Amino acid sequence: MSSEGEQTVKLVSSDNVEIVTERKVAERSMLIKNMIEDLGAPGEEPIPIMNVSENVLKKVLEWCAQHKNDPAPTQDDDADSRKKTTDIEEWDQKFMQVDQEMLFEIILAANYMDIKALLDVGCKTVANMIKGKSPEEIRKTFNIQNDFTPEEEDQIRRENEWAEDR
Amino acid sequence: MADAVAKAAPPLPTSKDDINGTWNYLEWGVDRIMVNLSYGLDLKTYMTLYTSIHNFCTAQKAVGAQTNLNSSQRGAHLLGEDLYRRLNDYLKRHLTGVHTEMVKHVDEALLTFYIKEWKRYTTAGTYNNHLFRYLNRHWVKREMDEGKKDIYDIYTLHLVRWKEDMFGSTQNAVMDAVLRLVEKQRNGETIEQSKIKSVVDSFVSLGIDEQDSTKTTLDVYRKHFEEPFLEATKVYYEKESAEFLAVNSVVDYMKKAERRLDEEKERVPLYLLQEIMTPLMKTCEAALIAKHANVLRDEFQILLDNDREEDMARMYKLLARIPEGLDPLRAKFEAHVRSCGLLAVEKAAQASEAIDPKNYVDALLEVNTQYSALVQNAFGGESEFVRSLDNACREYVNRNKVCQKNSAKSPELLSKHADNVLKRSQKSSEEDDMEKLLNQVMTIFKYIEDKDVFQKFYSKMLAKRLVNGTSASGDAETSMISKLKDASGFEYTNKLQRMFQDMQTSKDLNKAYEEHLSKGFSSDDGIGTSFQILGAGFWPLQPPNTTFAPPALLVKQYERFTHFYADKHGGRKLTWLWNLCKGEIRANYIKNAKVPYTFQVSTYQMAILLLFNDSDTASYDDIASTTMLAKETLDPSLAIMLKAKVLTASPEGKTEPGTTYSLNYNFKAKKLKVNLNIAIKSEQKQEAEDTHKTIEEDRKMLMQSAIVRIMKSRKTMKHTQLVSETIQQIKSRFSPKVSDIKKCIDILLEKEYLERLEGDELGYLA
Amino acid sequence: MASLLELSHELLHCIFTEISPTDLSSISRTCKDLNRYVCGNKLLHKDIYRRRYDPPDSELDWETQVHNLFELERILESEDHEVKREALGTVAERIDHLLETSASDPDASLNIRLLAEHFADVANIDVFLCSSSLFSRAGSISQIPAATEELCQTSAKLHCLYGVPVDEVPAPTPFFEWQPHVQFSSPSRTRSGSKPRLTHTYARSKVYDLRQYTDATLWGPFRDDGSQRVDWEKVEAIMIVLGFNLRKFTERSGGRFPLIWDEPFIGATPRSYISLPPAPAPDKELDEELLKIRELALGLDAQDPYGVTGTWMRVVCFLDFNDLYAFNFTKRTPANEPREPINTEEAIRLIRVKWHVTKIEMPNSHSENDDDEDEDDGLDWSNFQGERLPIVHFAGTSRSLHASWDPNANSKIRGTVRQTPEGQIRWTTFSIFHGEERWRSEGIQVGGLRSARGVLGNWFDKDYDIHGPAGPTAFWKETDTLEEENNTN
Repeated sequence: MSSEGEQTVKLVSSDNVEIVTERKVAERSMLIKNMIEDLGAPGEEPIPIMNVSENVLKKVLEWCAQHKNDPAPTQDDDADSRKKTTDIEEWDQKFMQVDQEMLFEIILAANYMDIKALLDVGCKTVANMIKGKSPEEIRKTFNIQNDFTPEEEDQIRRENEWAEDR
Repeated sequence: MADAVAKAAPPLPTSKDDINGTWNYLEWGVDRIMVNLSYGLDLKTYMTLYTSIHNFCTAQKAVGAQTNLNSSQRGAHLLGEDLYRRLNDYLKRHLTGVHTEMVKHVDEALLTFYIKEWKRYTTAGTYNNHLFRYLNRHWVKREMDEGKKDIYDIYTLHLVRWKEDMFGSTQNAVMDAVLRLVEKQRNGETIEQSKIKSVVDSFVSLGIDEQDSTKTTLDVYRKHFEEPFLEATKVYYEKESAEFLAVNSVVDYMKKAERRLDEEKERVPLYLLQEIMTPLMKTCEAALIAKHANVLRDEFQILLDNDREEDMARMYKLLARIPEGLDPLRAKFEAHVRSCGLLAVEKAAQASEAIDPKNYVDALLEVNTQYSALVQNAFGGESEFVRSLDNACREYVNRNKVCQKNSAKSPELLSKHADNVLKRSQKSSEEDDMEKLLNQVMTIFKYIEDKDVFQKFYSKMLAKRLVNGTSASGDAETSMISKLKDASGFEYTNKLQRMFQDMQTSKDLNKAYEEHLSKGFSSDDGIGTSFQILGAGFWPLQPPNTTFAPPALLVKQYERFTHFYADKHGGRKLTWLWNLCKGEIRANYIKNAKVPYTFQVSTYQMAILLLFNDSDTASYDDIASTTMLAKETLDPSLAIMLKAKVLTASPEGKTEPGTTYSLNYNFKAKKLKVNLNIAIKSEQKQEAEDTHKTIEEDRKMLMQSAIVRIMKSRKTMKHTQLVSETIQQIKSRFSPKVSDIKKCIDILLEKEYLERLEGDELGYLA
Repeated sequence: MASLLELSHELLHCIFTEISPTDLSSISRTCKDLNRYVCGNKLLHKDIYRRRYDPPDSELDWETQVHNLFELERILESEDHEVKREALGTVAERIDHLLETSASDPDASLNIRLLAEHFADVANIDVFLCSSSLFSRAGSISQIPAATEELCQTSAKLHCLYGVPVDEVPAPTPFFEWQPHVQFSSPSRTRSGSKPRLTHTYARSKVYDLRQYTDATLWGPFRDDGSQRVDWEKVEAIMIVLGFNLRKFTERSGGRFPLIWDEPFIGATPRSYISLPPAPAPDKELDEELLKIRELALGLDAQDPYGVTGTWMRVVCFLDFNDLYAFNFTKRTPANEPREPINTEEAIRLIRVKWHVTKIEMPNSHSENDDDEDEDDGLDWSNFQGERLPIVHFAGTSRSLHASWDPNANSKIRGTVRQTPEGQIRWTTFSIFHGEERWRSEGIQVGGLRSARGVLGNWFDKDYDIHGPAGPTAFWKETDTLEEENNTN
């Protein structure tokens, strides 16, 4: 492939907004990278990103631009999940300081566009929101309805004694 | 079918989880990719296909859906499975179509078709693998994690389908076509090699690891390509070589085989897999070499007899390639070298009755030199051939015609030859490089089994060279000793080195003595003296075997020296070896001599001649009684002087009581220096015999000390075991006979160093 | 509208593998949907297990195992000694599981790191490692024997697996103060407060008590009932005595002899001995006989499951014979009472042993059993699990590191290694001086098959002389090669 560093691609969001970005940035997405590999560089032809709206796509591309020089993701990068740390680097932490709706939208977009590292950051962010919380606190955080009867609740508490402090 | 105009796209699926609608659209897309990719695929379609797969798989939420408990984790997965199955079915259908077309072709056309379809199919596989990536990332990965053996990522699924629905029923025909192409090339025709390469690549791709489908193995390639390929190779070359040998010479065949092997080696990088190199070479070697190994080997003797070095090198290289290919050659080679060696010795022995050491050594060397060159040039210096050469040389050096009566003859002759080389001598050694000659001695020395015999003779002769000052060069002497040391160890040359030390010490001593004398008080009596002090333990010298009364003139000299020495090294006893002493006498009495002659004489002769200072004649009995020399020494000493006409006898020529000797005033000689100190023949012979005798004694000592050493550390030991270990310990010096060792054990039993225990055991008595 | 409950199955999985088992428990208690998602989710629990612990070779009941191991962590974290004390049996069982499934490279093992962290806590040391009957006399007030004999054994075994002898260490002599690394155990592992009683004096009294050497125990670290079950209390005492001597030896060597047995749990796992890459072959030619032996041995090595062939370091301790005799035979002590503590310190010998496999015998094939009386007869193998391993015979030489010039320091050695009905690895050796067997030893490989920790056991007269001498011994593998190392530093 020839000097792709300077090349740009044109993405179109689900709400039909065109966004021009560096090809290298866009190729953080395995979807786009594979597509270019199969069909060749699209030139002026816009690439429809059908499941992602403009505001989310912009946010995702912001992340991609920040990480454009990271080692390229390989086809199947999740070989050893044990190597993953639960830490999130500082820039990503700030990046993820968004409302819950946007957080989940980013996760969905990363999943759709196949950006593994961004998906990981998103999932870890959600995991951090769960950590150390009681069931009730979790319900509050994620707006979950408690649909257990008191009897059921009692039974489940007993089933979970293994996790309790001693 | 490729010509069919692209079908119009079906409607997009109406809802995300509508499997029929989704598949309907997907099938249209997949078919376009599979069949009509040459028309291109637009970006929008690509993205739509990807998105509809993604949406379908993520349609069902993990929670909240009204699925039952059992499948609560599998909601989305079930949908994935559906897509996977439908794609699988599609591929089956597609390949059935391709297969129907494929069987209509044969030979090269079939190859062309197979390769075209394979390329199209695998390209489509890559596209589909990307489009179905969501399925790969989640559903396929999960299934594989759970150990499902028949689920593959989408690309591998393509390969699996090809392998099962296409490969099985077509690979025989494809392989036949490939092999026909290869045969054409072997016959010298030009072929399209890239076709074979494509087939190889395709077979390799189809090797999916049963245990882990993300990995590949070479199983398919091995079974369906390599095996038939090797079989065809075998058949081809077995036939070709048999036909060629039937009408051509073995030498020509070897050239042909060499060429064929090179060709096959070059073939591998052109269009085969590097992995085939080893088995392919093995197959070729079996057909081209191993099958005809006996024919080749039969030729070897002829090549040897005719010195066909280049052809032997070729044969060596060929037979070296097959297991145990060379063993028979080595055996033949060894036997050949041995008989050549024996023949050379026999020839040399015929020339004269008592064989000349130089001729003998030259004969030994000639064969060794010739065949070690052959080993280097034709057999690449291979260590096993070197070993065969060494075995053969050891045989003919130690067991030949000359050694028939006395096995110690070889070391004796070799050491005599070395003596001749190292002596300041008549001819040769100036033009020949001394070092080269010494190396030749070492070459033969390496093969000598009775190294102790060589040592004995060598040290005797070295002693003579040193005492008589007849060494050609000190450097050559030390060089030879260090060679012997390298070959046989420090102990072997220890005494020889001590002899050199004594010579140096004597030199220093004489200097000191001269200084001592120059300090005055002793009057110069016109006699020059020089003394050598030789350590009794290191020098193989015999004391005189005659009585001797040295002349008064000498007595004064040696007493003076003895005093001097006793002052320096009190307590050491000096034994005078008159038999080795010599001197020079100036004959002032001879008429007609402008310059007086000088006689080089032994001390004995000097004692005799000095008698004539007092009178011109002396009787045999006078001489005998004054010098006190035994008849065995006196007679030859006189005889030489008679022969040289220094003395005359009456009656003429006799050496017996009653004879009278007179000084010959008319003595004439060509040179001013006349050497009368000539070794006596019978003495030389006697000496050799004595040497052999001392060797026997030394060997007994060596064996006994080895036995004692072994028993001391083991305390008890079986008789037979003791014998074999003794042999081990001393075989570097000579090869002992078992019967001799047994005798030594008996002696030690008698001396009560050892005792007999129960059974075959021996015990050590401290 | 994107929210947690709207996410697809795959995405929930991605999120939940990032949280701890406690959080997972909380999640499952929020609502029915998430409860259904979590409970019985094999894959989720498998991924959580594999992130937190070393992944085992085989499939497990992942959910139960996550619960069990997390419960173990909770017990180890607890500050309540009583909670810990009651859980001794459970804890031992689960630690066994962690060690058996731990990664063979200790540095990369999550399980070892986890255990080492928890056992940096003195409370865990006191309760779990110091509850054998030894601590009825030795140790501090918070170290007391467990309620039953079996639990005492359990604790002793844990102590052995832990591998750093818990002992009050006298301050190093001033001369060595500049070498902080020779300190035997970190201060956190020793008890502060009232001055405790030295452990090693009591352990020594057990090790040199000749009443412990009986036919039923095979004169080794086995229970006194002929069952060949390991007597972990004996192994514990052996470890403490040898550990004490090795530490002193290290101090005296000025650091030339490295301190061993100082890292918790390392080497106490099956297959934790990792051989170093083979050294380059020496130039010197070996004579043919040796090569032949080597070749034969290599063939046998391939079939030897125990990893016998190689160079081993062996340590032997012994009490002056007069002291040993006086200790055992001057005072009558009732049969079930321990003898008094021994303050006298014993001698130590370090020996480098090189041996190789000579014969491999299938279990139960009682062919020409040329040496030992066959103790395997009449054993109860009904509880044995897994595949019976062969009996491997070996032979070699041993060379003392103290007096290599002394021919008496060097001897030949031979022996066998086999399984016991418990699945433990039992080693028997015979030391041969001038062709005659003199000493025998019986030992157990701590950590099981091919463990790096090696073997702990007893040595004694090969004719079973009830008057001794006898003592403790240990050996562990250094390399797979039989060559002399160049740097015998």
